[in-house]
Amino acid sequence: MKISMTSLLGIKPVYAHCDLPCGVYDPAQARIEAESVLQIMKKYPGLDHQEDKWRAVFIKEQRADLVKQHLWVLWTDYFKPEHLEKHPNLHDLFWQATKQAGNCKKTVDPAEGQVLLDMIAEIDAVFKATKAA
Amino acid sequence: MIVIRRIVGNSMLPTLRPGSIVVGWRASAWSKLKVGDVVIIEHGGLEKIKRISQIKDQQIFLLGDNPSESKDSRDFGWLSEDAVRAILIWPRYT
Repeated sequence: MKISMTSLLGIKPVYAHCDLPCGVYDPAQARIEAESVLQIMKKYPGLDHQEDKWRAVFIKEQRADLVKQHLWVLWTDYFKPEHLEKHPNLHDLFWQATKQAGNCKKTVDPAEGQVLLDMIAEIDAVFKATKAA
Repeated sequence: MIVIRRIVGNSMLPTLRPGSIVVGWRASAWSKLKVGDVVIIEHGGLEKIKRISQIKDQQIFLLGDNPSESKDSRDFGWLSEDAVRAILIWPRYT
């Protein structure tokens, strides 16, 4: 068992509180899930069995939820007020994209899935601009 | 009264490294805070260490020295000066 000198001396921790320890953020996570949503929408009309259709809709809803989750993490943890100053449409981009992820749960129209991917591409462009700054 | 703490996290890099020991004076009603002070605050049930960036109307705005990895007043907003538990005196920093 490893016992540090500081714990022996009873020195308490103080937190230099930071973001996720890995510090890894990337809109690619949301994009990959959104691509799954779109592909399921495209395949849906060709499914022959009702069970397959139910399963497709179920998985599409799960993936759309993951899109929301990944976008929320980016929005709330990665982006900072100084990014908003340079990209004033940032909040609206995230709001519209997460709403669109919700819309994709209600439909199997691939056009809606493509709109979601386009919105994530816009967020990705802002993300890359902040990384380049 | 002296306060001794061990740093956990990266938000005060390069000034304070994780694992390093810091010493502060316990804050009191007579403590005079100034911009640039590194302070230990109580927030969200944890003691956290940050640098005072702005002071206005007995409210303080705190930043980490490593802004790209810091959760600070940019996230949780202004805090009352009453949140300060100690003011760092060692290591000395500029």
